[in-house]
Amino acid sequence: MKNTIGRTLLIGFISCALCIAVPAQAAGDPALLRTIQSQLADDMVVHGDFTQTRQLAGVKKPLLAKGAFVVEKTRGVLWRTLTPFPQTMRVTQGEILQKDGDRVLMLLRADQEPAVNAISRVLFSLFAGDLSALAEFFDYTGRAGSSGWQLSFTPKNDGLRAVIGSMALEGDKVVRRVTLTSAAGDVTHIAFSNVATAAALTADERAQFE
Amino acid sequence: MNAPSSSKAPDTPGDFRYARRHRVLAWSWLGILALLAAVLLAHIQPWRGQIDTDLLALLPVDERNPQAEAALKTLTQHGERELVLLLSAKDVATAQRAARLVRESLHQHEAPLTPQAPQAQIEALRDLYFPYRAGFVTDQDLRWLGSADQAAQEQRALALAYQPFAGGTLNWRDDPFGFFGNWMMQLGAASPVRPYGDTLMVQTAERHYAVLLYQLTQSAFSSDLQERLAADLAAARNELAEQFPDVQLLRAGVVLHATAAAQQARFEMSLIGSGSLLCCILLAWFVFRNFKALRLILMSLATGALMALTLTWLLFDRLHALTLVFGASLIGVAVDYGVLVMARHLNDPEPRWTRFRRLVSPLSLVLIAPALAYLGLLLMPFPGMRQMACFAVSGIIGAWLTIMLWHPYLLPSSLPVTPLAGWLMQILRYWPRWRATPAQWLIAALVATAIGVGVAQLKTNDDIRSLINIDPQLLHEQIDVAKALELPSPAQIFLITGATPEEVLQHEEALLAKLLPLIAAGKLTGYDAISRWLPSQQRQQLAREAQQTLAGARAALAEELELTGDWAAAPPQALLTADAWLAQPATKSLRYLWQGRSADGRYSSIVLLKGLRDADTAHQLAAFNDAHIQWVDKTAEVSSLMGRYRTLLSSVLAAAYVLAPLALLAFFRRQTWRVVMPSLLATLGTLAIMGYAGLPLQLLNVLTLLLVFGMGIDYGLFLVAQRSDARAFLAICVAASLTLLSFGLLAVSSTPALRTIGVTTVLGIGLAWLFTPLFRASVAEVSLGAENMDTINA
Repeated sequence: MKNTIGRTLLIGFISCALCIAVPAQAAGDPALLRTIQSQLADDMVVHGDFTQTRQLAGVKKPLLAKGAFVVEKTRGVLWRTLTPFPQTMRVTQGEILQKDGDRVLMLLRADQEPAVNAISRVLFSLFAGDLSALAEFFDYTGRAGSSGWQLSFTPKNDGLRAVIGSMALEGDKVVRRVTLTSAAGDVTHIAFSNVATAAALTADERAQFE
Repeated sequence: MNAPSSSKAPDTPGDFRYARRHRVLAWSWLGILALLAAVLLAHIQPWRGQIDTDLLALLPVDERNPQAEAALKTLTQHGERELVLLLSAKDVATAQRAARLVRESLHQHEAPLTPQAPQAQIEALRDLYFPYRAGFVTDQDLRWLGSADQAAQEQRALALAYQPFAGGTLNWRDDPFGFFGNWMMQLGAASPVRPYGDTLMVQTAERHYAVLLYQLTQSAFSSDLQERLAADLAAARNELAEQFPDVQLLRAGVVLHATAAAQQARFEMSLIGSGSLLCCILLAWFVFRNFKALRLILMSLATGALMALTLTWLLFDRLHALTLVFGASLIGVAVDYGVLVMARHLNDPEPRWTRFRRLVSPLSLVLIAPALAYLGLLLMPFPGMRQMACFAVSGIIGAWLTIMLWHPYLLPSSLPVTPLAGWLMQILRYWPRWRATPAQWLIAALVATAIGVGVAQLKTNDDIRSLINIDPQLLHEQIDVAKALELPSPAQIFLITGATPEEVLQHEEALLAKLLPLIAAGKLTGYDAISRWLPSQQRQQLAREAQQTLAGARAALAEELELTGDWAAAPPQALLTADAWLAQPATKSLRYLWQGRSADGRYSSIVLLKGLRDADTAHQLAAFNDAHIQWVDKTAEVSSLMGRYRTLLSSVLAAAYVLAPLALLAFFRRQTWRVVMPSLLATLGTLAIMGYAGLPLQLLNVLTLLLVFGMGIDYGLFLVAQRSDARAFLAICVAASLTLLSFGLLAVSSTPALRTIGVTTVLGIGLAWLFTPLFRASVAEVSLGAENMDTINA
């Protein structure tokens, strides 16, 4: 049970390392990103609940999971799954930690696995809504209106594409919905609810980042 | 070259018959030279592109271990065309922007490079492995399989199923426990390079490196490519320095060293060549002050060079740049014969052909010693040395033949003594002569003691690294690149053999298991081995059997998640064979690790090590040697080979000093010691000076002393054969100073090997020159031995 988002993304990043590095041209309209970024709240902390539905290729039953998340712009992401079983993932600069209660299931550090730097940056930007950082790794298209925006991303690197076939983000002041489609065909929808922003972490949240 | 027609009528009937025979030979020589020139002209264009600058070509071939030799050769060829550029900066963004600039610049200049795939293309590998994936389980997961109960097994699969990016690069249903994903991830240990945005990056605690990998479009030794690449890299470097002054560009690749070596060799060749030539002309002019004399000397040089160049190119197909540098200094040796002959004709009133006939015997003897010395070089297992020897022997013989066959026609009718020549000839009268007086014996005892003490202090050094010159800046950059990219050492490898490919893989896996504790202890940082990518069938079988315990968990999962079809009963999968693996295009870039089948029907592979630093660890690794595993340390092996040949060649040298007097005894009888003594003393003196100066004795010193033997014996021989004639002494003075000047110029070479040859020659020839007149015979002794001399001169 030591397999996580981190682990899977890791494979992608290692895959890239072993693949030819194709010089990527910036595909996408930077003006669109700026428009959307200006709609997004620029608070230090975003927190809320998530509902995640997965539809796996060849598996009939949809897999439903619920939990809560916290993003702090300087520290990282805390991703707590509550049902069907509790699990915590913490992504900070240079480290990805996964816990099952108090038991450490997995600890990935950038000094041992260099890809951790890139992974934490992707995950971090994804949940924090840092679109320009995502644009480093993905090509994108999308639209922005007064009531909200939509963006879809495809990875620039072959290795990353092997893991994430495509990614779609929807939101207004905050990111509301994320859809991930793996290259192999597994689809994951994540919907965010009760999203609120704050200037600082609560004491309880801060403790979990320590 | 209308030489023969310009000859005058011979002076005596005997001379007349002699001259007629001689004329035929002279014409033949002209014909041969014309032929050589035609060959050279016809091939000069294709040959010019085949000047070697590969320093490794100088290294000996290890005849004792052909398999290791073949493995190292594959490795060299594999890496030959690679060029790695790193942009080192304090932050990621700057490194990336700098990398884009360099990439663009190289692209715009149409540099002779193609961007290169870093190792294997993992997507293609994944597709290759997919049908066999049950056999690919990491050690860690194997241990987990040994201990996990069904609840833990189900939990692991469920956790993966709920993860947003499940299953790695496969669907969850194809790798529900993530074993294959973990195994693929483990391949990441092969390289620290990771993509970051659009760039490959290596990140260390202090620096961020953007990585650009290229493949050359032609051989690294193509001079055309070298020139273009050097210009393009310099342009990129300038642009970088302008826009990113804080970013360092680090370069690594065989081509960079080859370019530096080629530029250096070209520069030294012209410097040493023109320097030697100029010295020759000036000295010959001041000593003889005669245009025809100068013409003869230059003609012998030109014909020598023509023969050396053409024959060496014909025989070896390629010419090493260092051969040309060494060859340039041979001007000083080839010119000797012209000088010896010319000096003999100074102020000589006898008819030309009589003078000539008298010269034939000593001139013939004079050729023997150096030609034999260089032929000794031909026996060495050093491809570069052999080429140099061939170049030297053919050059010397060419020059000698010109002198022997043409000089009667090209000689000036009279050659008066110039003031400089006269002055030099005067010196001989005042030069001390060995008379065996008590005072001289005392001095001799002191000198002998000094020599003994010096020789006793002589150290030896067979380390090949002390002979090869590497641009320190390039070396520094290369070390940084190797460190950042964790590149393995190409000089220290394991060679694994077996009767079948499967056996090789099993032996390799056993070896890698032994390396793990060393990696854990930090003595190594990793390895490159084929079994990382291609587990043995035994290992694949083990992994499959370990997964049989999953049957219960699979059935439960199938029910809980409502899986379709016969998923629960995991289908048995085939084992991946070496042949199937090797046949895939995706594995092409890894195939250098696989040596395949050798002539004796056995299979072999190589394991490369990363982060090997200290000699203790190397000793520990060498202890892993068994019937199937062989530790190959190229540097140590070459050094030990150098040591063996140094010893061998020292014996050859000693034998030469014993045999040469025996051979000369027939001609010189009781005067023989006078011929041998100068060069023997010069050799011992050189060794003693090296001992005092702390210069270690290397193979190359001994080789050079062999050349000193050849030339030194010549000096003694000429002086004794010419009855201590002042003209012979003059010839020796001129010949020795020319040798000193031209070989002395080698001492400016940046290649330590050539510098060593230069310094040893200067010492040895200098001493031989000083000692030769010391052992001249007195006029009385000469007249006593006159009958012997006549047999020589007849």
